[in-house]
Amino acid sequence: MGGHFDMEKIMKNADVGHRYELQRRVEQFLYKEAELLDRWKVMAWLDLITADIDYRIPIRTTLENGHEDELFSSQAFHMVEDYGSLSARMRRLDGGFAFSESPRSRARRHISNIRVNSQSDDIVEVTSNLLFFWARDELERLISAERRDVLANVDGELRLARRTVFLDHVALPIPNLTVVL
Amino acid sequence: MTQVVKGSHSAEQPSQIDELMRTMGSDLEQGLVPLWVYNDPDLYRLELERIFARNWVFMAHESEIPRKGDYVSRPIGEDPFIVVRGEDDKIRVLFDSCRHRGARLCSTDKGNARHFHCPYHGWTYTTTGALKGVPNKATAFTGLDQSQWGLHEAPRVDSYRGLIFAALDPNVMPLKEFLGDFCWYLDIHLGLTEGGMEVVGVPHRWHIDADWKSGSDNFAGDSYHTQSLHQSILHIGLSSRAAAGASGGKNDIHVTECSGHSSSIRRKDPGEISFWGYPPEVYERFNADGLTEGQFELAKRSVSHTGTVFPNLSFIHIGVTDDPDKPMAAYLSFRQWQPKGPGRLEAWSWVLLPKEASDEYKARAYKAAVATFSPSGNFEQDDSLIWSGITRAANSVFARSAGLRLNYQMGMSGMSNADIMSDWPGPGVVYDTNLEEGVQRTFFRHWYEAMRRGGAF
Repeated sequence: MGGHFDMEKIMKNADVGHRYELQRRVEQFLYKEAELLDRWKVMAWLDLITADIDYRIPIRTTLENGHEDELFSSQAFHMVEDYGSLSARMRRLDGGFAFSESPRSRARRHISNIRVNSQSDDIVEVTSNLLFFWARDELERLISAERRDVLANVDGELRLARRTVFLDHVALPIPNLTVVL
Repeated sequence: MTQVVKGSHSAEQPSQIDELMRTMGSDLEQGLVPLWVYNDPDLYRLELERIFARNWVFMAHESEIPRKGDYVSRPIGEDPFIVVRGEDDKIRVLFDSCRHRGARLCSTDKGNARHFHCPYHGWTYTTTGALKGVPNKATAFTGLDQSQWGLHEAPRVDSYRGLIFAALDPNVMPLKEFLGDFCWYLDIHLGLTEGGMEVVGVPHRWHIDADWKSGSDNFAGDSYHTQSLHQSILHIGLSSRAAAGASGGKNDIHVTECSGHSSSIRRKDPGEISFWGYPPEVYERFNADGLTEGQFELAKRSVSHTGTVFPNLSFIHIGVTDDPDKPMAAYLSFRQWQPKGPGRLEAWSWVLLPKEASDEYKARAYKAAVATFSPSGNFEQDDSLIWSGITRAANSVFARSAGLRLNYQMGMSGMSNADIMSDWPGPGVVYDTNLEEGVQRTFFRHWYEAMRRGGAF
């Protein structure tokens, strides 16, 4: 075979390489995003989202089997946000007068099971698992969820364009939800 | 949270609860509330028995179960019930426990059922609670009279303007009498349009490490806390100062002693049209037909109302925004502080909007509601941790050993200039300022009376 190029194999390897690279870029994006939030750099987090972001946490209810499509409400949300409302939330948290984060709660986002589904380099669908540790005063709580995101390629950089958080909880186990999951 | 079990009912030594029941009346007259009532295992158990099992308790809104067979699982105190619109279209509140071994029938939050089936041995009940199916009945339960073994149910169920209540005490006064004069205020929130208010989607639910009374106490009319705790809201412009700024404005009033319920109301000047901030497209559909002139005039001037219907149903009606660059939008939220053990509550919150409002308005107002009063609400985020702090201190030995009492004296003689409005068109004892705490003393007086009833005090 020496001297001959197996184009099919080269293309396949390139494709695999491309997919690995995209997976790595997505993972680095999600880790960076989590780091900013964990460190309460909430205004910097706004730079990672698109101007037309759609962010929501639908309320979950326990229903009979066969109603899986209705488990997460299409009308009722723990958060239902656009850029303006997210920006207002972050300005409040950053402003020094938000009692609920004074002092800051201790929070950490553990992101795992990152699955990338991409039809193009410009729109990347990502599903990930989230384990969110939250502690304030003597309270310590966990929130578990699946996140389905759409990342958009904006001028060569990934940005969060859409996120829906599917909670494993019917009643939130924490006294308040001050910041995004 | 670890609970220290305190208090003992022994003959020689009167329990702390006996002592409380003897002394709290005079404490309240002085505007004092013992701190430990906010977290005590014995007192909590007594509250379940004397308050939640003996008074009307809110269960659901009729718009949550519009069709025959629709049901929601809801507690009375901590007891599990199913609120169901039966095949006969009648709403019942069935005890969620099979008559055979007591197993749970309903493991879902809501749905539409043709029957309730116990998975343990297969006993089956209709949506009216009747026992319909018993496996092997002919050989195993030959003599069973099925008509005697239907599901237990709350003996009293009634509705007021869409709000479904139930009572476990068959001798409780009629709901209309229990809500009493406070109906005058509820009407203003629920009777604005012909279609009334309807619930959007499903309620928010979240756990707070605080006593249920903290929620009732706050919404009864804690007008004093907004300027301190919620100042960040004003800083970023999610609310007007009129709706949630400093208390003590000339149009701010407190409704106390209104059949045991209370409310805090902020208004605009006479003649101004406010309607909480509903836009003209919505308030033009409000009609005065179901209201008195006094009620409609108050609605017209209203900026915000909060209130508590004893024991644990509260509401807020307000116009706010999720984004200072978008217009304010008004909504009504009913919220219930469900007891979940000593020093623990589960908050439930329903967003209600006029049935006639457009879908666009409803989506806009729902967004404003989530951004302000919900577990992620920019207002509400701040309250829950405060209440946890109260609960923590209330659990202390020191609170009991030193007899620590909280100050509820605002509005009393020598504290603030709170005068009763003699020309007020509505019921209750209404003060011309919201710098007073009669609203919260009303809640505790009613609580004290309810706790004493049936006791040996």
